[in-house]
Amino acid sequence: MNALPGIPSNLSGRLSGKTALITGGGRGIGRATAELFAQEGAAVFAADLEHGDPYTSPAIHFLALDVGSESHWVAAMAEVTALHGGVDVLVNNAGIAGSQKAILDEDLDSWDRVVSVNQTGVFLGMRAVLPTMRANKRGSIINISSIWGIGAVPIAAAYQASKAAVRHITKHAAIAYGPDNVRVNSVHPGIVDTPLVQAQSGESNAQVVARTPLGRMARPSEIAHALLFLASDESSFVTGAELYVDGGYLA
Amino acid sequence: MVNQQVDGVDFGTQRLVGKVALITGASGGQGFAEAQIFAREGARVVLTDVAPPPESLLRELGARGCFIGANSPAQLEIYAAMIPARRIGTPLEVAELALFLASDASRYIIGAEITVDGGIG
Repeated sequence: MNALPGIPSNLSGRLSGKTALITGGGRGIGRATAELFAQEGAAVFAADLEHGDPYTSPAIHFLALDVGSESHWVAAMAEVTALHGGVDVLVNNAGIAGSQKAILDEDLDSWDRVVSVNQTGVFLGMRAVLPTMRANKRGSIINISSIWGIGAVPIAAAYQASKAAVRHITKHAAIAYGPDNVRVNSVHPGIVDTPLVQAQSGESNAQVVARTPLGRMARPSEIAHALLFLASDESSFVTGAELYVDGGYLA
Repeated sequence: MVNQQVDGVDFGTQRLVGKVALITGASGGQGFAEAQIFAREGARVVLTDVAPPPESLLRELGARGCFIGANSPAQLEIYAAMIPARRIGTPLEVAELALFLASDASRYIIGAEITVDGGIG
């Protein structure tokens, strides 16, 4: 069935009137999410260590941010508040793979760096936006975990531990701030065609694809669409949930 | 993607244009809400349930919705089309499996889960 005749396009998007902050917004899933959210009418702050290619949408504002640094978060929130008042949607997407070693081969610096970005970054991000969200009695926080936050493989101990921590602090936050009408959910991507995955060994990527029922990597936009649902009011009764977007890997 | 509105009516973002959705338990409550939102997004919806929805609800869906009663010939045809064997099973076919499991012919089959479903599982 075709769209009904006479219907004008573009009156309101699924995120119109909302301000969204997306960490790791320079590349991969974060970039695709920033573009999709802007297309749906949100004012978007895309935060990352460095500015990547220019964004398609003029509604995307770049913020320089190291998510593991509390002083960076203070500065970033000051900029967001000055421009847009506050944040309605936070996507804690910034993440690094780290050394991908098992416990006995890992060194402490590498472990700390992964925990700082993947785990402490999520904690600091939630701390930065929760006061305003509680005051406004609305907000959606989406924390990006991973299939490796659910199941384990014999490598990448730090990555897996940090992603499992993200899953659980999400449930903690959902319970703690649900009474303030702040929703907090985790999303667990499988293998996605992003710079993070492209930098890993082709052989191990091929193994994951082989164990994925859909038999391919996801496109970043396929994760972004799941995030769009959780960011929008369509998911107004969804909190404390974990959404797998993994091509069936964990099924 | 943006919502489309005419005269204050929200036609959604037309995310399901060209799709047909079959919804069970659709005559009220959550099932009917699903039918409504799917239709708003451009899908054609087939509602099934043991009893039809109130006339007024069905009218809301207009040409995009239709109702098929449970176990009506039309619905059995829909089920049959979903089964690789292309037909509904018979009670005898289930009994024959029970006979096999009860008999000594199956003496080494323990703790197994065996489907008799024409291949749909």
